[in-house]
Amino acid sequence: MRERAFTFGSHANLFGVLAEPDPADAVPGAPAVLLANMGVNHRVGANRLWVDLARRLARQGSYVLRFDLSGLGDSLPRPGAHGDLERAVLDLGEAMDFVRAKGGPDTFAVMGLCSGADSAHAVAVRDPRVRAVVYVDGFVWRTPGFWLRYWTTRKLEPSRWRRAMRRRAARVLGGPREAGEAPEIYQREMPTPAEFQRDLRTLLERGTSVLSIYTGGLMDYAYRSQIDEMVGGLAKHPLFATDYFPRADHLFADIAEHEKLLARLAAWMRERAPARLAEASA
Amino acid sequence: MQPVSFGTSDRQLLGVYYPPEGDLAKDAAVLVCGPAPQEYMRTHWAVRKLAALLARRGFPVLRFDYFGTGDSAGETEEGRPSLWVEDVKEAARELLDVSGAYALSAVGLRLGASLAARASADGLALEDLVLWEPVVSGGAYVDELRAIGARKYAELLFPPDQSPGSGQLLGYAFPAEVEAETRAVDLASACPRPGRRVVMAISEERPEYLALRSRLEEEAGRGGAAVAWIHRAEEAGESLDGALLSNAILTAIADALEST
Repeated sequence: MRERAFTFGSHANLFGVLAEPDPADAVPGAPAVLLANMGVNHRVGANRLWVDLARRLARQGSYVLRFDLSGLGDSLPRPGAHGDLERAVLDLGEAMDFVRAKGGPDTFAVMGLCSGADSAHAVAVRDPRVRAVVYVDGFVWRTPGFWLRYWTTRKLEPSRWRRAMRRRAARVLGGPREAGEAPEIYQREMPTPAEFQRDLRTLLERGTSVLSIYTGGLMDYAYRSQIDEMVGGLAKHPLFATDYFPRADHLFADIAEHEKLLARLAAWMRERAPARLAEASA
Repeated sequence: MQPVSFGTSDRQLLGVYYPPEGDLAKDAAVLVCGPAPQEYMRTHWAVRKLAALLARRGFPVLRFDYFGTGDSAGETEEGRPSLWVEDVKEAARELLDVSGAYALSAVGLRLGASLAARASADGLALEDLVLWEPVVSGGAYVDELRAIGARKYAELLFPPDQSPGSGQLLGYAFPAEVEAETRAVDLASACPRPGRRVVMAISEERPEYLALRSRLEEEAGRGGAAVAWIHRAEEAGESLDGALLSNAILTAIADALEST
């Protein structure tokens, strides 16, 4: 595995680090992986998550580009007036062109966390080169099952009561605020449930694999199979997979949970190699 | 802005070099030494902004990630202060080489201030050394981070263990030996002996900063480096984070480096 940093893109404004597998390790046909910003965090990722993931995936044979979207981290703004998602789609498309020009494959897996999942989804729907997409704490809405649990079992869990008391104590005692506690400075553009299901169907029918992961840090997500309820009949599609990390916070700050996520993503990516996909569908 | 890789093949460090802008490049290049992993992400904006500002003022600038941090090689648990001091020296050589500058100044933020001071005490020749919100005592610093961690995660259902011995701190692996090294950091004992000047840039007059200033001024009285003091409390807000998002302190640091 080797890593090199580059500036690239049609305006040479994008900054990223390309991890390339050793030629002996490269898996033929394995999609290259794109990792961009988590919110306003730069390409390294919160708690160095993207660096650790990029290196692990490159060691198992994939090209991995972690980079900053226009105007974030070390990437300069893109000229012209674009909405956030439109800009991200252009950036991710140019990242694919760049990886290909560097000798990488022409199929891609795009992974995003939080608002990064929004841009991963947007480019996956628009660009057929995307053959795999991962959402970590991506789109979520409250389902009937959520409300059922919300008013029954969740309210009875001692750990939730303890947290409520800690919150109340923190409010009473005050104390300095952390950067992460600042009010949200951007608004996520969520599709409606119907739009998301339509997009997901498009992806799956096109042969794009989808992995949707949720953490216990997402207030609107309450139980492992909530995503199944969210996507209806698509939950059983062979290219659709889900996972739930109830003990992890939104940014996988616990190093054991961080490691579990890396292992899960690495295992899923191993299954995305064309030979494995053919084996699975046979 | 150019990405640069330097160091040995097994300890490759990633930096970003900013060539001087305008017609008149300054004689001294500026090395920006960032904080430790736990404060890396929340200071990245400020470090980047300072580097770009200094380049616009005509300084060649390099900022970089220490071994085991950011985009540089190494696992997080492998990074430690003693290695990072060597990284500062390596980055200084790289900056002088790539820029062709004749002299070097350094800006160290938080733990980076202590690392740059230690490198200077070890013999790295610096014109100016800017101690920006410096970590003065490693022990107090680790305790402060643990307290921040306890507060930050208090609202989680399953808060990550931040206690000593947990092997982690604020989202990063923090083995016992790294903690021991970090606790041993003592900026006053590594008091830099730069050729010219030490600049303290702070947002809050903490007792340890006032004590360090007195100590540096005593040194200056005995023929040591001159001491300059930048205090921008009015923009600091109520926390360190406020200071690190303040344009005023960045401008003041650039002004200080320009005032030869």
